[in-house]
Amino acid sequence: MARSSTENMITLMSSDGEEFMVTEKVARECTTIRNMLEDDCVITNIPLPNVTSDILSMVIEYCMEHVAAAEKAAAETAEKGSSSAPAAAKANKDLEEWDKAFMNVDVYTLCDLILAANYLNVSGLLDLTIQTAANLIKGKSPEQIRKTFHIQNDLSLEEEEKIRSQTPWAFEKSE
Amino acid sequence: MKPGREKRDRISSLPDCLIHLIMSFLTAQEAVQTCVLSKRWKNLWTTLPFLDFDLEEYEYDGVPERRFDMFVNFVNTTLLLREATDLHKFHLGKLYDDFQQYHMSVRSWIQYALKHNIQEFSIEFPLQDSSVPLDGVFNCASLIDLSINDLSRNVFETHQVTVVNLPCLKQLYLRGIELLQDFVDDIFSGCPVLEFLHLEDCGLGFSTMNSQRLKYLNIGGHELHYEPEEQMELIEAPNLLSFCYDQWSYQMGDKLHLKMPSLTSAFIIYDDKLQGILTGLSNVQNLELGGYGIKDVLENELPNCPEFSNLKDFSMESFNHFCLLHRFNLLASFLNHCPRLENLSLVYRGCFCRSEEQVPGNEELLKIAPFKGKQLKIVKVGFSKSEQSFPQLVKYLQDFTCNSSARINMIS
Repeated sequence: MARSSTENMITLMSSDGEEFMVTEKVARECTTIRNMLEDDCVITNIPLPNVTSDILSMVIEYCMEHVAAAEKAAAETAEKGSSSAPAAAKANKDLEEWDKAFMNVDVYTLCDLILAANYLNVSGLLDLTIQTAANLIKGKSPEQIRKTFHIQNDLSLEEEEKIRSQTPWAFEKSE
Repeated sequence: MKPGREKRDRISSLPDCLIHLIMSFLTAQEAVQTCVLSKRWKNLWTTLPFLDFDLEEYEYDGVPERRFDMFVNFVNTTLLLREATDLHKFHLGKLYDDFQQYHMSVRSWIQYALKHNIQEFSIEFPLQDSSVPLDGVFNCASLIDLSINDLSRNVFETHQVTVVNLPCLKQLYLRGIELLQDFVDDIFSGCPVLEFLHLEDCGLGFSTMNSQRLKYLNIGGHELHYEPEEQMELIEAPNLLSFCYDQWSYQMGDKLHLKMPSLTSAFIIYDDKLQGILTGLSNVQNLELGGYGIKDVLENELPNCPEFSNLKDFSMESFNHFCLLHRFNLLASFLNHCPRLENLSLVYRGCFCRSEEQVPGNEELLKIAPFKGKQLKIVKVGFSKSEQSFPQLVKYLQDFTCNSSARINMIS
């Protein structure tokens, strides 16, 4: 990808010590980092003790894709004077497809991404991951939800029966 | 990546606030049902600040009354058993006609929300009589987003709302509500930071609307039978950015005057009774016009209308009553009011022009001054394949825009 040499580069360091060089623009997608940069504009090295390298690389991938999409849209607007609605709609659809493919991860990684998106305050990624997790719960029985998220049922049979008998109104639909 | 970790339970170790965020996309019932997953989940729902109750989501077998009873019982017990923590978002959806008999329950639910720091409240309910305490809903310091959808077919009279005091309200959606002058005045004085107002199928019984802060105003509706006490005459909103008007009715006055100097985009479907607003739109950058009255409006108002000197995008959706070909002179003279136009989109949704009138001939076309705007880049013409007059329309457009470097794209 061609980049002007004057563009500021920032190093993000994961909890396991791996370094990632990104443009300032990509880093600014994370509101948490943007706020740090605005407080102290000479920062070039940011340690992120709450994010592992595999998750950080995914967050960066997401931010780069969304920055690139926004830049492409801006360039088209500049070229043609204003963006044409069908082209913008197609670009949006492409990005949605990309997001969908990006969410093809196991539930453990999905939850790690939720935590990272929340910590780094990447609102688009947080919305996407939260919605994806909710879709995995919607319309499922408790047993199916446990299986999907590998939740160990530590309630004894009696305890579960007790909860169900205390909240029968919540289960009327399925029973 | 450690092997086997994807088989471990990660979601249960997320902090409560993030699990709540996931639950915010579930119906209240789905959220409460997670209580049997494990010990960790047993009480999570009791502090959930988002509750979405939708009667239609509540499936039932057998008699409808039983379904209502189950639903009422479910909402009551959920509110009773949850902790006394904030309820930021509360939705009561699709409480159709017969639900009116449960108005006392609805009243108590609203009271509950108002006592728990509610920020977003929406209700779909047949209001009919004044048994629902709307007074309370219109007097709440924490509300940011309020949506009231009257599901009865009559316009709900708002005389009972005596106080409007919503100091934080930014968005207001009203459907099927009568808006008399006093109520409109109360809304804008009682909601000092209101930015977005959407009125759908509302009884517009006021003459003036005056708001200093409003940025987005949508007025729409097609299903209303309402005889207003007053005719709408003036909308004054100095900071309004966007104005959408698409309401078919017989209630409009002869002239509607708009004072919206900051307006950048407008979408207007002309009713045959709606007149006088073209002048008020002359600052916009984006404009979409359509509807039955468009011919009369252009004929009557264009001669006295100032230039649309900021207009960049103009689109017009046309039906049989405004055949683009027959009315080409009128269209051209409108476009000659738009010197900085960049994108023009004309979509024709009619079948054939059956008009008895003559298509303007070459002589008449020569009388039209050619389009002077230098910035015109794209002209889009959309039409059905069966429309035979289109080659001719495209020819007219080519001749008319010959001084610009515009491309004409045809979309069928």
